[in-house]
Amino acid sequence: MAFEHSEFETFYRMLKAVSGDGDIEARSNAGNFILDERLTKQREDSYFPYVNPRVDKNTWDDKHKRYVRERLLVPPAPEPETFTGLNRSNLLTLPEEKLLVRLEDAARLDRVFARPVEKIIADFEDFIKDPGNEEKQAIIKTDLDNWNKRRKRRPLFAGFWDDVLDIFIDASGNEIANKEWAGLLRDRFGLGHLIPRGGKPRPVVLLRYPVKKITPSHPDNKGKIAVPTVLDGPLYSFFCPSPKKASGYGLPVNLDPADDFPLTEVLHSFIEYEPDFIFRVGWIHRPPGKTLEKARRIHLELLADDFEKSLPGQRGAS
Amino acid sequence: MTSAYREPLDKWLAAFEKNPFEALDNLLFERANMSWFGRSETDTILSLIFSGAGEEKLRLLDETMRRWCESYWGKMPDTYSPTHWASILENAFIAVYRLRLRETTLFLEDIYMDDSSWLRSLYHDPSCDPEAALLSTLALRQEDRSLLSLWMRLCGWEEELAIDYTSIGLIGLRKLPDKDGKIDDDHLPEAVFKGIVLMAEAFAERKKPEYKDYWLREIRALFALYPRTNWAKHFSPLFYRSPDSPAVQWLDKVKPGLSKRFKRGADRSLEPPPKHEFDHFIKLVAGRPLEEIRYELDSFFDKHRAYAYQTGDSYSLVRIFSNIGYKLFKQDSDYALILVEEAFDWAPYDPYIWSELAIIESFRGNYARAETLLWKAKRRFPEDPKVRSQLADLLAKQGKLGIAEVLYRQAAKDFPRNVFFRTGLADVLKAQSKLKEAEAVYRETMNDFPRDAFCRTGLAVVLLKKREKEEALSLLKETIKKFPNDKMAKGFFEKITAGKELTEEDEKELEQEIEDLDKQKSAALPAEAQEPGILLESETTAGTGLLAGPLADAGFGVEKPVEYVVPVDTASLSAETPQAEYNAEADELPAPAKAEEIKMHKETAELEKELGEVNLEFWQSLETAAEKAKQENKITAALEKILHRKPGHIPALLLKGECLTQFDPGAAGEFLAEKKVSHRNILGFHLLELRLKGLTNEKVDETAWNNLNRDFPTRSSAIGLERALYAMNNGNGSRLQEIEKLRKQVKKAGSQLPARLQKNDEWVRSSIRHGFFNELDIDQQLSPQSLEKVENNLLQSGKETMLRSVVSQCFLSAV
Repeated sequence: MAFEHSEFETFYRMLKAVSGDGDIEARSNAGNFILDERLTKQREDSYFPYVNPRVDKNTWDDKHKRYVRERLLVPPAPEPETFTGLNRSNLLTLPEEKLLVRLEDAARLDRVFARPVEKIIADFEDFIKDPGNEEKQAIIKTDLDNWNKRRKRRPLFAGFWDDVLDIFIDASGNEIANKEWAGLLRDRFGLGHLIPRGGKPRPVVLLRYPVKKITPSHPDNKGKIAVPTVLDGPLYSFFCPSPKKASGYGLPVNLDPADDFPLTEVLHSFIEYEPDFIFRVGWIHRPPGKTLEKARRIHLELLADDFEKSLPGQRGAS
Repeated sequence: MTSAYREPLDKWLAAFEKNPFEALDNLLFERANMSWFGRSETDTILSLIFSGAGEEKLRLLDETMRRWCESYWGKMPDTYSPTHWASILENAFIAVYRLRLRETTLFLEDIYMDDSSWLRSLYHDPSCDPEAALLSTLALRQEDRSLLSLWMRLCGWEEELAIDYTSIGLIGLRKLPDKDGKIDDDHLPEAVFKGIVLMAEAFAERKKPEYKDYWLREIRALFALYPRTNWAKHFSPLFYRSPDSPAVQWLDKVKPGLSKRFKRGADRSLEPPPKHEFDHFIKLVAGRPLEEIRYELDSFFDKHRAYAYQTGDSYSLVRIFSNIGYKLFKQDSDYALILVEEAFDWAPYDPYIWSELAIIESFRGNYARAETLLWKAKRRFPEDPKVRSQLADLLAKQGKLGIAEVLYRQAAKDFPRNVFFRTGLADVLKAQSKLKEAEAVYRETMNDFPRDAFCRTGLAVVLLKKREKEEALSLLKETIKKFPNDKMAKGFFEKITAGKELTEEDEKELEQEIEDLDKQKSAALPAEAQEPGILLESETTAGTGLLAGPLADAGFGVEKPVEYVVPVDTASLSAETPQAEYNAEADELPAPAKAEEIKMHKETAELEKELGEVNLEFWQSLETAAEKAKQENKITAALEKILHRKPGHIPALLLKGECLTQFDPGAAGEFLAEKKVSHRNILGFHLLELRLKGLTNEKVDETAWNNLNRDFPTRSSAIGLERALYAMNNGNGSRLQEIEKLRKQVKKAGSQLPARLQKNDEWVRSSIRHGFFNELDIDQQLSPQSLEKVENNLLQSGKETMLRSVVSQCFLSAV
């Protein structure tokens, strides 16, 4: 279990206190640190200077952000800690042809691509319809080149195409015309921060690419893909660590009101996007289908038997 | 449901309304608890909070953001790492764009033009680059065409920036508003085409295939984004004038057969006003008072403005405005200043324009501004002797003889083959009654420059002052014999032989007479200056004043403005071809800048002057080792004073690093190690660290030098020079090999560099020739014997210090 060594005594006490009291945001963040079964001792040690000698609930967020900036972001880190030997037990090998999907917020792209978002989305749609068109390719190549350069080099969350296939293709293999696919995908991947802006829909890009793109020159992709832990990103209350017993992958909190079961997700190292990664572009029109409180309660109940520990008020092993 | 998700945002908004600055500060520094939104960048959070918010709230945000930018500009908060600080700034600048914060945009535009070196120093790579974020914001939110020259400079890759900045330049041109401030998303502004050509030319100069690929990718996307544009029509006039531009062939790769269409029908509607108009106005300006020709002149200038603003081609404008501005400043300095400042806006990398501005300001009595301009120009263009002579002259005329003396001393070392700095030095020594020293300098100059008459006359004056009349007369006699056309020697001789003893008054009078004589011969201006101030030496055509003469005669002063050399389109002037017509539908012009609108902010200006003086004092302390200890405290205190006022001032930090390297190596190690991380993009900190290692006998790996060459390819001569100095002092058997590398480097022409850097590079290479390879055949491979010669060269007094100073001046000029 995470942070139960004596040197983390003060920190762990703070986690216990916060996870049992306060708002859902604080409870979730602290609870996640208690529940995470996957953290290696080496990574805990790496985190130690950030929460030692003392951290309280008010300063923790700040310290954690510092950890993320210094240990996960390139630069200054030479490589995110996620993919180093410190995290060896969480590194994965996946079949090369396995397709991954990743939902990217496109609200910022107007600046990088120097065109209104509506125009960008239209250009991307044109390209998806006619990927062989040289002119469209030229636009997308330059856009992606500029975007790739400006993107922050940090670990990227991705899901599996197989898990979301039903949103796009029906049982007979026909394409589904679903205008709400973006909102639905956001819900299933538990991305609660992606909400419409001031009543305006939020543009997103869905990228799809095979595992081999993550490690194109390496036959063994182990070392570039990992099961997510609480130390692999900023404090995020929509996140929940996955119990080892339940899955070999991450399990995002499902915000879809019609479906409670979690999909699976992984983290992989930074990759540059290529034109043929662009699978769909669209808009998120509505906020998440479930509140964090409700979604997390359901998520923890579903996995209660799998977690080695339980949180105050949570059913399950202790 | 929606409100529940927005709760953290609404909570912050309430705090913002209560205390705007504190709330924004907390948010931008990521101290505010934004709950699950903390996963987003701060600009996204601000966008979520303020999208759909009322105008009043946005106005408050705009005003607060402006204050925030103002309070942190040039700073480096202690508790934040450089990459974190860069990211905070990036997000702030992006938020300015996303929320259309107009007041902040205008503020940033203004302050960026004033001082951006600290921002540049935070560059790490394109994913961590606040300057690019700021420039993108300015490009996408410009309201008029005042930034056109900036975008052109970026496209032409004139600054020492990453290649991505050329793309930002292109975006700036694409988003250039029309005369009504509107942006046409379907058609490209005319200036884009010139930008594309400049980009191709800059890339071709670098001779790297990947740059060409970069250009092709960018231009292919532009073709696709603007399908309704008639490319051949827009490019034709540009290629009609420069058919050999690499862009011609490259464009064929984007659109096969396009270049054939240029040849078939060149559209001449976008050509600059023809040269004969310029000749006509030059005659007018010389022969008639300004008030009589002003209306005509204005319309001539407007044609050039319109052409430049429409096409982005500023070549003619810069030359014509500076040339005519210079010719008119004594008649109407306001009018001249507007013209020259306009030229300056287009070509701030041209030291000639800096000189002119200083002359006009000085004439107007704005000595402080003139001095500041020249200090900054001296730092930015150390390779330019004209700027140095002007500054020294201005200082001397203001009675600041001590600092003028040091300036001349440094210039005499930096330009050893330039006689004018020697005689200038002797002049200031004479003016300070340091007659013995002045005599020594004159005698040395006579020896080194036997064909120079002025130093002989100067020496005669010193001898007369020393009451050594016989020797003075004999020297003058000999000079008249050797240089029969030299009026000054003759004048002196006649006056003395007339029987009277030469008093100080006489001497001045005599000099004045000679000066007046020369003035009569020069093209006289019709009206007297309205606000006469100090005339710099270069303002007179043949100044022979106490401190002015030799430099004015030198031919490198600004007294001989460059001629209008716009390529002549003979075809357009021939009888068969109608004269090129100027496009009457050109966009409306921006209002000319007011003379009071000085680009350099007061604080920065003062710092530049103080820094220039400290820099010279530091140089002097190295030259006169005996005074080193005495100077150390003074210099350190002055630098600390500057850094206290502006902690992020990069030139001051560099100078501090250099001072510590000399005075306190222990502290220097720590300081430079920190600075090279926090300002990774500043060559000086890296070079100084290696210099320090050399001085403390530490080994520097080959890879360290190679990395520097890789990261700063435009400064390879300066890096090579520092490396060779290291090898000479610390190397063992590899010294010959290292010096051979330097020889090859010196032989290489710097043609792959942008024009501005080429001059700097030439200066560095010429210093190396003089310092290292004096009396050696640079075309021959070096032998062990030549190594001995190199050693002897370096042992000559002050050679090594001079060479190190050249490197230091180079890295200071880059910020």
